Amino acid sequence: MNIENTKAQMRKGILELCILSILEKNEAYPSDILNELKASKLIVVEGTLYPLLTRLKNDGLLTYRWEESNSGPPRKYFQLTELGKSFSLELDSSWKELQNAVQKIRSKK
Amino acid sequence: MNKTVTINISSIIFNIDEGAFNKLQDYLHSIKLKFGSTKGGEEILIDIESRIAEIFHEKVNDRKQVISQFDVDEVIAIMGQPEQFEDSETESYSSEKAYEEEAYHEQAKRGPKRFFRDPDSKVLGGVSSGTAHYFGVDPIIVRLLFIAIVFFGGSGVIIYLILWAITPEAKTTSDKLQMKGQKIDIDSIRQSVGEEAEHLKKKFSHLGEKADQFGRDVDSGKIKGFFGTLFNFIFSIVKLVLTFIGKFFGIILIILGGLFLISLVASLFGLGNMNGMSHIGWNYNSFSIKEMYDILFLTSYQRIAITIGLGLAAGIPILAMLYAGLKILFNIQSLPRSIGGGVTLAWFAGIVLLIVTGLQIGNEFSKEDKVISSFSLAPTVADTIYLSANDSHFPIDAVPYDDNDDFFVLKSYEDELYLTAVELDITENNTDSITIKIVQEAHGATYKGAIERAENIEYSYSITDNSIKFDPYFILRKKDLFRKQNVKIIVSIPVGKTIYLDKTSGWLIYDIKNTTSTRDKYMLGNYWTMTENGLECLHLDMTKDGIRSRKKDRRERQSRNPVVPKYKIKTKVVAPIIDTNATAALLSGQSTHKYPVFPSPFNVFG
Repeated sequence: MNIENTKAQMRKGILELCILSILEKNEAYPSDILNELKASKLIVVEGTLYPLLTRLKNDGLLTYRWEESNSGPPRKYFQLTELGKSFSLELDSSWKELQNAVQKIRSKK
Repeated sequence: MNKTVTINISSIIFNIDEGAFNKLQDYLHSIKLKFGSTKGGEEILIDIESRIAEIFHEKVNDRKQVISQFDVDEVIAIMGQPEQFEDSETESYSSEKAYEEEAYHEQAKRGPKRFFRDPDSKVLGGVSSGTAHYFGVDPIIVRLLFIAIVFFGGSGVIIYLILWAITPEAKTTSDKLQMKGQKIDIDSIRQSVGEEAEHLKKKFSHLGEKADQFGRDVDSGKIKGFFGTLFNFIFSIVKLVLTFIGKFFGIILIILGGLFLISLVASLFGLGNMNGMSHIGWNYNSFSIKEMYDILFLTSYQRIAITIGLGLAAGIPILAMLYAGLKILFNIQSLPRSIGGGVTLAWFAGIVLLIVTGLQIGNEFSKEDKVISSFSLAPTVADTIYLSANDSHFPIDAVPYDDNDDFFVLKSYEDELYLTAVELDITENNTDSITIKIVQEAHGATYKGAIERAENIEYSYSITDNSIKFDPYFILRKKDLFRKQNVKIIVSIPVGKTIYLDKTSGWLIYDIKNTTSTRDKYMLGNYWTMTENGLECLHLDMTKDGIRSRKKDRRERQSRNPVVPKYKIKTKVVAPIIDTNATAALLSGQSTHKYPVFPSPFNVFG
């Protein structure tokens, strides 16, 4: 059993929730999202984010607009769609349930 | 000084070190491989590239204008290898799938292996070393295996030649890398195969266009289409011939494979006969392969093991041949690689089984012992003795050859075998008398077994005055099993005595030393006197060529009488009766044989 692997599995599940939560506050481009995720040590390599964003966008949870950048290539600013917002709410309640469940089990010790 | 490459990532131009460029390219390829086929893969790639551009953009300034390998390493560390991407959907595998993925990556790292002949370490055509690369074993092993299967009806030679003919030689570096299964570059996994096919397709369609163009040009030209038609005609003929050759090759493979298969099955299940003496033109077919098994194997386990071992070791190459033939003829689908691997394993298992059982049987031959009986002729015997072989059990036109190293079954009865492993030598004797020593040898797992077998050898000869007649065969009791029983006769004669070698003694004598180094077959029909220096012939007459070459003998027999019917031989076998008249006849050079007189070439005196 590889501990890193287990950790990664745990992170994977909540990554989507976190991205949606970040975007709930205001729109952001990948580097913003990455900075926030990295600050909370939720992401190890940046490459993880891109496939995830593309998938969420393709599923209709996100949209984006292009913005020119003074430093570097044009940026994709992502924001939540209506569907994304309701999805985010649902994930949020599900996360709270999980949190409760884990706490309950752990407190029984 | 480093070469730099100018690249464009997300519409931004960077100068990049060449090594760094290659690294970056490999990295992007690996991402492309992972996401290229998924939905939105292209977009993911563009996003990632754009992020890389952003990072690079932060790195360069007026003082540092070139992206170095170090920068690329850093970017890769930030972005992570595609395996590290933690995407909940694309990587929520069951462990099984993850394992498969791993195996796939392993394969990818090594690149797809292809079967090439290796020109760098070849002995003949490089087939063995190529095979060795393909299976990742030492070429020596493959070479030994090829040599080993040569003994299964020469199939090794045929398989080798086929492989030689159909396998391309690894000419380019990339070929050689593919042959060895090394990593060529990261996109080789899918692309190399696809691209190659694409490339060929393009090339061919291009050629086709060219040909069409050529045809059209000519058509509209002055020659009024003659050459165009001719060109098309030749082209289609060549195509037809090539196809035909291919199919023909397939048919040959199938026919050969079928024949091998039949003979293999026949020999495995003890059908058919050992044509013990067929090589000298005598089709005496009473000794079957089944009998050979009976006298060779100790237990039925050994027999089964040998059968299975032979079946796998020889059968698999034969089946592979048939399969190759069918594949060429009917374009049937390739078997999956796993089956090929399993079959190869089974083949190795067969070889191992053969070796193990072979060693067991070999142990049965490990100890050797002998029984010696010797006696002297009366000193009063005449100065010249006559040596001949009892040829009564031989077919009419069987001829002894120059080398008496043939070892075969003369006759097979229910519990007895007549074997021809009898050798005679003539040496000098220090005493006054002529001594004859008969050594009966046998092998066994123990010395006790060996000596018992040696004692059980039934061997006979007859002496009449100064004439000695030896049996050129001995009788082996089948229940003793065949353990390399043989009989050696040593006739020692004192200096001054003379020995006459009758033509029939060609069945017996083997490499007898003499002063003129005359070969066995020319010693026959001559008088040899023992001198201080060894055997010497005073009037060597090599023209009395009673012993002929096999070729000549066969040719003559074929022209005279193609096949000697079996029943004739059986009815003509009459036990020899040696009498003094016969000896006298030998002396006087007249033929008065009482026992059936065989026509030429035995009857050299008649």
